[in-house]
Order: sequence, then C-alpha cells, then structure tokens
Amino acid sequence: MPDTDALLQVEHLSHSFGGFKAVDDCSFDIARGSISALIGPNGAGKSTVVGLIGGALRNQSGSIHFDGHDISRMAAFKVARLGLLRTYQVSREFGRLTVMENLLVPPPNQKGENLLNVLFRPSVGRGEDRMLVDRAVEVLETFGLLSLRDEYAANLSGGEKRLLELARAVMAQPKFMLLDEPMAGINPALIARLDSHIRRLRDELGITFLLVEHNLDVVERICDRVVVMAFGRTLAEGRMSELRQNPEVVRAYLGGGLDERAAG
Amino acid sequence: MGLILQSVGFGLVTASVLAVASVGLTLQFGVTNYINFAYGTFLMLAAYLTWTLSVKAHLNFILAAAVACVLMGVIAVGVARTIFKHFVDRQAPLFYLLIVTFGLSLIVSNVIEAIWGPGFETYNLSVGTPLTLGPFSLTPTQLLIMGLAVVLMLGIHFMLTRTVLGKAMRAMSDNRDLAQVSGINTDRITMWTWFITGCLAGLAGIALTVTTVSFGPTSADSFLFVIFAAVILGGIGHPYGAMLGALVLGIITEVSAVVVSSAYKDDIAFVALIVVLLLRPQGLITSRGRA
Amino acid sequence: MGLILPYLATLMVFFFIYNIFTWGLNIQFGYAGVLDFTFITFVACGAYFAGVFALGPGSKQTGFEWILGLNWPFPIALLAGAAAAGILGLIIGLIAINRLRSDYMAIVTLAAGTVIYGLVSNFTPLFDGFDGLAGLTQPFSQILPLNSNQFTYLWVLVSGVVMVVCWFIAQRILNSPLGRTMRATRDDQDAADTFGKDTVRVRLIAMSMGAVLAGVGGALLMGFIGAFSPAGWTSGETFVVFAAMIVGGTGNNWGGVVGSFVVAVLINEATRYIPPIQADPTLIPTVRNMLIGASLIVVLWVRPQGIIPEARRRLYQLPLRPGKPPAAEVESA
Repeated sequence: MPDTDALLQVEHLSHSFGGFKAVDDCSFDIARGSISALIGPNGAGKSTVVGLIGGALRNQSGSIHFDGHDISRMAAFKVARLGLLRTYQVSREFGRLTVMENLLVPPPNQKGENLLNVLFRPSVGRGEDRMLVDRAVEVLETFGLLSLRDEYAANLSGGEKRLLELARAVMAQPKFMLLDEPMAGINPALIARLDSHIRRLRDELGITFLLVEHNLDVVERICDRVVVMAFGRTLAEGRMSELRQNPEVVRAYLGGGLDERAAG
Repeated sequence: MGLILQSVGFGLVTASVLAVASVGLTLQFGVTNYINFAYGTFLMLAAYLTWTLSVKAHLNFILAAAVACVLMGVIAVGVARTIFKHFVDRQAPLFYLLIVTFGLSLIVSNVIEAIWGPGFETYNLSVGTPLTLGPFSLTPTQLLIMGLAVVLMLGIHFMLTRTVLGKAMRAMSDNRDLAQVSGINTDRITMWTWFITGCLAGLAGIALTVTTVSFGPTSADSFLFVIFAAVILGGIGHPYGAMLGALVLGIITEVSAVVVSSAYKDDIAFVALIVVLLLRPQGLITSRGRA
Repeated sequence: MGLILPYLATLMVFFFIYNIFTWGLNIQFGYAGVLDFTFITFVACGAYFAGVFALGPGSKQTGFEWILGLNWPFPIALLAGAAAAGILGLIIGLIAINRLRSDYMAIVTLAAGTVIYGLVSNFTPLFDGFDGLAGLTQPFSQILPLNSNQFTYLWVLVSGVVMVVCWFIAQRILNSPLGRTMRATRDDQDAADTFGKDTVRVRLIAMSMGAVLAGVGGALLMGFIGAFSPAGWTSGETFVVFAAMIVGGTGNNWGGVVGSFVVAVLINEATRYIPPIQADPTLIPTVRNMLIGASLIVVLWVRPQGIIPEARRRLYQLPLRPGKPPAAEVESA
C-alpha cells in the first residue's frame, strides 16, 4: 500500500471539536518534490488538517505518515525535526529578535544550544554562528531582506514578515513545507515574488510544498496537484484546470464561483 | 466513619463558600480572558469592611455584609476601569496583566494590613448551637451559608440563561470578537462582570471568615489555590463547571483534613490542584469552538 | 563616619545579592518567558541548604533542629545551596512548564511556593519551622577572625566576586545560541516548536538556571546574616525581585543592575533603616510593599521595556561580501 513516491500520506483522518466533526475520514497523498495545494470552502477543515499534520493537534483517528515515519500523534517539535515545517495563517515572527536572529534560530542541532557548551566553551557556539551567519546572509539576499537584517522582526511590514517566514524556514533545511495561507493579506506584486520563491526552492533545494490557499489563480499557476476538501473530507484531487470542470467541486464552492477568489 | 461523614458535612459548607468564590472568578476569567491574582485579597478586603461596619460602626451584621459586598463590587469596577482596562485596550501581552494583578494583590493586602493591622479579628457573632441532621452536625450559620449559596447559584443560573446581561456574558465568553460585531457593548458587559465578580468575592470572603473563629490579612492566601483548583477542574470560564469543581474540592479538602491532618489542608488543596492540572490541563483553555 | 561606612557596605552587599536575584529572574522571565511567581522560594532553598551544610548538627534537645548539619566550609555550602535550588527549579518546572498559556505557569509556581512555605514553616525537623536556621558562625572565621564591621567589608568582597561569576553565567547564556532560542521561545513558543526546538526543555533549563542564581544569592544572604527563617521569604519578596527586573528592563542584565539599585536598594533596603514609627511599627514595611507593587504597575504602564530596554543585537552586522551590491529594499505590502 505505501506509495514510495509519496512524502506525506494522510489516511482516514478524523477529528472533532466537542461533537463537531471538523475532519471526517480525510485521505490524500503528497508526492515528493511536488507543489500541491489544499483548497476548499471555509469550514472545510483545512486548518484542522494543517494542525493535525504539524502536531499542533493530536489526531483522534486515522494516520499520518511522513517520509516513512508515523507522525500521527507526534509533538510539533518532533515532527519538525523530521523535516516537516509549517507556517501559520498569521505571521509568527520572533518579534523582539532581529531579522538576522530570526534566521539563526531554525537550524537544528546547534552545539551552541547545549548548556555545558554555553557555560564552558562559548567559542563553540560562536564558531558555529559564523557559519550560520554566512548562510543566512545568502538566504536573506535571495529574499531581498538583507538590508533589514538588524531590524526587529516586529517592525517589518506584513509582506516583509511573509518573506521572513519563508527565509527563516529555508534555514531549517526542511524536506517539506506546509504553508497555511501564505498569500493572505499581501499585495499582488509580492504574491508574484512569493510564487517564484516557492518554485525556486522546489527546483533548487527539492523542497516539497503543500499550500493551503484561497487564491485559486496562484494555485493554478504554481501547483502541480490540488486536493479539494469539503465537509471535512477529500472531495476531489487533480490538476486545477481539471477540477474547474468537476461539477462536485463547483457545487462545493456554491455561489462563490471558482473564478473568483473563494475566500469568504 | 462518623467522623468522616461529619467532615462531609463540613465539606458541603466549604463547598458552598468555594462555589460562590469560584463562580465569581470563572465568570470574570471567561469574559476578560485573564486570571486575577488579586482575587484572594478581594475576599479579605470585603471581610474587613464588614468587620468595620458591624463591629466598629455597630451596623446589623447582615446589612454590613450587604454593604461590604456592594462596596467590593464597586472597588472591583474601579480597579478594572482605571488599571486593567489600560492594558487590555493596548492589547498588552497576557503576562503584563498577570503581573499587574499580582502587583495589585501586594498593594491591596498591604492596604489591609496598614488599615487594620496584622493581627486577628473576629465578628463576635454567636454561632448558635449545632443542629443534628442525620449524620451531620452543623451550626445555623453554616446552614445559612449553604442555603445562601444554593439560592445564589440558582440566581446565577437565572441570570446567565434569562437576562440580557447573562446572555451577553456567555456570548463574550464564547467569542469576544463575534460578540462585539453582533452589537454587544463589550465594555459595559465587562464592567458589569467586574461588579458581579467583586460582589461574589466579597460574599465568599465574608462567608469564609464567618466560618472560622478569627481571621487575619492572609487568611484567604491558601484558599485562593482551592478556588483556582475548583475553577480549573470545572474548566476555566464555565460557571456550572466551577460549581461542580467547588463541590468536589470542598468535600475532598475537608474529608482529607480528617483522614490525613488538618495541618496539611493547604497541601492537599495543592495536590488536588496539581492532579487537576495534570489530568485536565485543557481546562485552562476556554473552548473557542473549532480552529 | 564610623557608622556610615559599615552601613554603606551593608547596602552594597544587598545590592550585589539583588543583582544576582534579578539576573536569575531575568533568565527565567526576560530570556525564556517563564512566569515564576515564586522566585523567592528558590532563594530560600539556597539559603536553607547552604545553612544546613555549613551549620553544625541540630538536635531536638536544644530546640534547634534541622537536617544535615555537616559543618562544611562555606564555599561548598554555597554550591550545595545553588544545586538544591536548581533541582527544586527543575522539579517545579516539570509541573509548571508545558505548552499551555502563561496563566498555568503563574498559578502552579505560586501554589507550589505557598505549599513549600507552609511545609517549611510547620514541619520543624526540616529547617526548624518558623524559628528557622540561626547561629551560623562567620564563614572563614577560622582563617580570618574579624569583628562584625570587618566581616561586612569581607562580605562586600565575597559577594562581589560571586556576583561577577554570576554575571558571566547570565551573559554567556544571553549571548549564546541557547539564549537566542530562549528569546525565540519567549516571543512565540508555538513558532519555536515548529522549528523543532524542544521549547519545554529550553524553558526548563532557563527555570533551573534562574533558580541556581536565586540559590547562590540565598546562600550569600545566609552567610552574611547567619540566620534565615520564613519571615525572610514571604511571597511579597518575589515582588521585590519582579519589580527590580521590570523597572530596570527585561532581557538584558544591565537593566537588572539599575533595577536592583532603584527598587531593592533605594526603596526596599533603605526604608528598612528608617526608624519605625512608635505608634505603628508595621506601617513602614507595608508602605514599602505598596510602593513596590505600585512601581510594577506604573512601569508596565508607562515604560514596559524598563529603564534600560533589551539591546538590539548587531553581533551579526558582518561586512557584505565584496562584489555583491546590497540587496534592494523590499517593497512593502
């Protein structure tokens, strides 16, 4: 049954909040190296699925496998250590850290995080930091954030914070990135740039992406495959152009229409 | 065995006091979404006001208690309007508010000590002869407190289900933003909530000090943790849960005082709190529906 | 003149010790966002354990009873006090710290402190209950027999040296990648979690290291005064350290120095030397406590970042590599 090509496998996932079934027997696979999207009308259970995959919620039934590991009930930080990284609908920058410091937090297994090294061999952390700073400078440059490196993250604009989140995530060298509405609330010019960053990261670093996104034009432009959710379950899967013809999918987006932004 | 049954009777008295206090705290937490660490000092302040009014000003005790409760409600509103509101309006981080209420408790407890001194006071009430009811033996005062608590809980239930204020409080407790966009004057409801929490704190403080022989400025310090435990057990922000939590914890603390030792009553309350926190940590997160 | 100098030296000792406290609380709260409402319990833990390591054996017959009573030299006793406080910090941290709201930490720490206070006060075999430990002979008196004034001067030196060591510990943590992860956890625990940081572990380290500094300060207090009892660590004392930290500024250790001076020395210690008013001897301490509570609220109201705000770290302002022009400004959304 396991598909060797699937990096993430969600099987028969269900989750309810006090009697309300937010996710109800939802299954889908995400292929390695793909850029996929998870779409659906409001209340379809997308955010709950993201929470379950990322480990913010413990799932009640069904299973989630990531890169050969069962992450069904794994704590968020352990999931992250396997290389699965999520972002949030609202930017979650470390506000009182500078942009540069924000990028230095993610790299895993830093020797400078060990208390004994900190107290007795501080040079270990400093040496490691120098290398990380070099990498961070490169990443900041590609995201156009280098001039803001000493600014407090809290002082960035909404769009800059989005870029920072992506840049920060790259520093963790993830295999898989789960972006929860990355385009929400940013201007069209920046959307185009985020688009190209996502594609570049997939092409250059081989990072697999799953986007929860309301902007269907963006989805059509960059996503290879789309999973449509409605009423807590998977309604359809396929390319965006095919899905636009699928009457069931069109019905799920009642009224809003697939050509409009479906965000309500 | 008789002793244990008797302690269940005392447990019901403690539970009554606890229920009043816990409902007051949980209503406020539900509506405002931060915990008031100065709540214990509210209890004592009302007790001392009652003492001054009844013992020094020779007011009828019931009247003195009623005046003190209303005063305490007014003081709570005053504090909330002048201090807490400032931080809430500026969307200050949660821990600011916690530290502010923590600081306020230091101020209030020292105001109490400065005015009334560090010594112990008593209301000089006659407790009356204990009445034997089945296995229980309780004084008329204790019975009165239990009766009052039951009436009060019914009143709270009526308020929450039947009145505009109560419905608005529940709506704010569920979802503040939604309540605001549906036209509820959240500012006013918050202030009424503070008034009610102040009154209930006052009543609980008076009941607590009436049931003990004498009281000092720190008499409610450890009781605060029993209140926390009851509130958390019931799920913070849920008044009916708090009533149930109060019943459970009231009986547990009194029975264990007999079984273990009354010297360790506070420690038992703490153990109860820890067990509650370990078993029901989510009780601290008010349910906000689906994500 | 004969009185001023020892008086100033005494204030100096308290200033040094409060610096250590403030840095300790800052590690917990200012770095890692751990809300520890019972910091003073760790101070007491350090003082008591340093005491019972340095004191001779107690016995029920003399009316002075306590555990251990090892008669060990003071430096070892100080380390023992620090270790005991660190372990207690870990234990309370294990209950208090998880991935829930900060209310949770506040309630558990405060409740734990109250219970430990009750236990230590009532259970005499531990640290002699309400009477507390007493009768510690001057540390180092065998090598250096000093009169009480000279001993005060010696203690300025001892606490000064210990303070410098603590400064390096606090600074090393702050400026390390560990400190960075602590501050990230403070700013957004969930987000730090999603980068694979074990934020509970990070906070436990902060809790424990903060408690170690509290214990060191407590041990110094024990050595200086020679006695320690529950009257010295009522829950109000935690406010003093909180006020010092908040007034001075969190997230940096210079703020702690300024805060300890203003709150712990000027308000707290200095008022103790005002002669008590005859009619009402409790008035001065209560007014002091009101001032401290008010200073917390006022500073959070007027200047939440404190007198000295957290420094912006420009450690990483490396020169750009040659040949690459600085990147263009990002258009704002």
